[in-house]
Amino acid sequence: MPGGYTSKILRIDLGNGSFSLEKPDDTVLRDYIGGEGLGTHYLYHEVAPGTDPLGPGNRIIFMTGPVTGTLAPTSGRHSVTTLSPLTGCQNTSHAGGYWGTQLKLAGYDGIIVQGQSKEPVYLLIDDGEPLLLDAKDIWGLDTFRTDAIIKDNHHDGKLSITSIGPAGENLVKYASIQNDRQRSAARGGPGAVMGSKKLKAIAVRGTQSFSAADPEKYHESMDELLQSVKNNVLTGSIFPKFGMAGIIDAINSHGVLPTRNNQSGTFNQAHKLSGQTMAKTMLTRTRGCYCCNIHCTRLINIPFGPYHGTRGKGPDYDAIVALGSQCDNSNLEAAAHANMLCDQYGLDPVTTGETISWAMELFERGIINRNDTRGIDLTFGNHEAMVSMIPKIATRMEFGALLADGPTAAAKHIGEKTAQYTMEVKNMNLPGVDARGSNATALSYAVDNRGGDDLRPFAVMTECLGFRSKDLAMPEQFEPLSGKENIEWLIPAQNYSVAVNSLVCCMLTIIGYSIEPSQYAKHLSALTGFNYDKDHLLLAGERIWNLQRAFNIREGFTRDDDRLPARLTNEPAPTGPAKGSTIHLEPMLDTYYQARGWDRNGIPTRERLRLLGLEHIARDL
Amino acid sequence: MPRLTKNDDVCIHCHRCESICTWAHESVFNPKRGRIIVDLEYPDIHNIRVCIQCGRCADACPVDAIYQDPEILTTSEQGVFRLDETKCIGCGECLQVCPTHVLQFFHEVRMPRKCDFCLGEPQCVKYCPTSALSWVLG
Repeated sequence: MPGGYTSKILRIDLGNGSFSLEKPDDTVLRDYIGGEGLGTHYLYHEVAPGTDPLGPGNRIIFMTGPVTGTLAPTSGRHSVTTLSPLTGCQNTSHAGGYWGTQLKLAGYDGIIVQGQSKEPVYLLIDDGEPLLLDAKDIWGLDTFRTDAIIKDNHHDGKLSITSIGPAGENLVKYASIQNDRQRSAARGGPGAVMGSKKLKAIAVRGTQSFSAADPEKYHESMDELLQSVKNNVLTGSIFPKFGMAGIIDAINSHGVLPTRNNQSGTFNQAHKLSGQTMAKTMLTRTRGCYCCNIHCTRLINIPFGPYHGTRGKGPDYDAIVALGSQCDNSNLEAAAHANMLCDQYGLDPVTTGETISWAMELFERGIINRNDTRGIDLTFGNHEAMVSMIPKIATRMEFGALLADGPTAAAKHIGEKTAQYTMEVKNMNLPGVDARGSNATALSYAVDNRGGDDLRPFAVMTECLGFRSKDLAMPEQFEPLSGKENIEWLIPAQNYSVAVNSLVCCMLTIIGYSIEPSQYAKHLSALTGFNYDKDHLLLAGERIWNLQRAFNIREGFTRDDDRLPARLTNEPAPTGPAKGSTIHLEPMLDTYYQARGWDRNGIPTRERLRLLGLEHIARDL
Repeated sequence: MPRLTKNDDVCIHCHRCESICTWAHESVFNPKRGRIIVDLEYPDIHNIRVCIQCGRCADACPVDAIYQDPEILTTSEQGVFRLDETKCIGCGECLQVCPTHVLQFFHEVRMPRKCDFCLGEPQCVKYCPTSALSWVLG
């Protein structure tokens, strides 16, 4: 058995309440590693095209990777793969915390949930023993209460729980799954899938051990990873001190901080929202996920003012942008409170904030008014209105009911002409970077396999702030604005990101390239016993990326879906370093498809699939 | 006269100390077998339980399974207290008297796991990312 794995996957059919065990082949583990890769592999083979995301046919796959639960930095992560109800694409969200480690200690690499329960249930995995329990009493409660009650039920404060809140139960299309009260798998609405299956929570605890293939080499490479993380300016200094929000000032100075529903790329009060301000005003302490020495989690306490009593996890970068600058809100306390409400109700704070900012723009343009919003004054900068919308979205109340299905559905309801203001790709709202100041970000938004998302990779850090990888071929000079740049460097960076997401390690270790592909490959070889080098790791990433692409194509996505909102391609940026620039996407797409080995319509060629060992899926395309 | 000290205020609750402890003693990954324990009280209180080598467990042990090893000295100029696994009968007397509640009973081996300061090179101190644990000499 390869090291780092338990080689057991638990399958649960909620339709009849049965459990079964599966052992993944070693070759599958080697090719797809774990996490996002393994989740995508199962999803591709089990969810037929045209499946209803909220029906019994969809799967929700909780997966750890070989690195989860080990001693490497950021090893406390797990991934959640499903067919997204928001986008209709395959979707993998990642969460930190301690839940993934506990699952591994309970003896499982992953859990595949299928079918649909008639009554609300929750799952307890007690050191390998799965048990479905009645959740009638906790159905309807928020994630914090759910966490406390389940711990109380089993008299164990160290139980690790991942659960949905009212948003997931009400099938809000961007509902999150919240684990350990502070971390969430949020983007793409996995919470709604869990809600549709009437699965309220999964609680795990375990005491089982697992081992590395070569302990000596493992220890050596672990030391190396820790040192690299410590030596990098981002992971060694800025993130531990100020969290991910410590980069807001830098992002703003490059004109890529999305503001007022992406109308502008600079926010003149950005510093008030930064991690530096948070550290001065509300930070009580920091926390790390399992074995993480970056400890970016902010714990905050707001003792006075309208948002007093906000105590717990603070917002991170993307949440601050969505609930701050995008809503023209410079009140960090309001953003922190709104973020906590999202955690509590089980909502994705990014999509929630961006959807509210879209509604704010409609309100300012007079397309909707107080009659539509039931009296709420949704003007830009009105943070009280923003905060009051969050429970309404989660419970589908009043105007919130309209926003709960995502921006495209809401635009259809309000009027087709409002669709031009929705800042989404494949129905997923764009997160915290304004693409007009960064060509690579624009392209990664357009082509990402889970919709508008820039985390794979976080290209703005490379293109604008100059963090480059030594191992991946990257140009000497980046030109984020001209459109002349050879954008092909993005491809290995994407492959690397998706491989790291399969380990499962955190994107924070690679957005500044603290850890290079060769280091992760060496580490993974020592841990698993498979022989990886840099190229094998990137090839695994490419294989997963192509499989995800194939899934989306099978669902009917085409080149036409690889597009950007009209605002980014037609309206020149009004301020900042990117002033006057727009994005010319089509030429970039041509270059990208060609470099990926895809045809002009973005479909992977048979030749490329054969190179990746995926010839069996060619007939599906 | 070295000793292990802790600072709960800078602990980030990452459990690396627990995990490296098991790794150092048994070469497997399992934070639940750490001879050091970190607790979390929501929302933001972290408590570290460490062995202070007080020797009360040795006094309580009916079969002298916990013994002084003079190889390294602790604060009170005693040797470090170690567990002789061949002698332990798993009665649990030592758990009752442990003032920091760091001694735990493990069902799979039917005995506790006892901190031995890694014989002078405590790995939890070496790998703590925020120096919440230290090794004080003298």
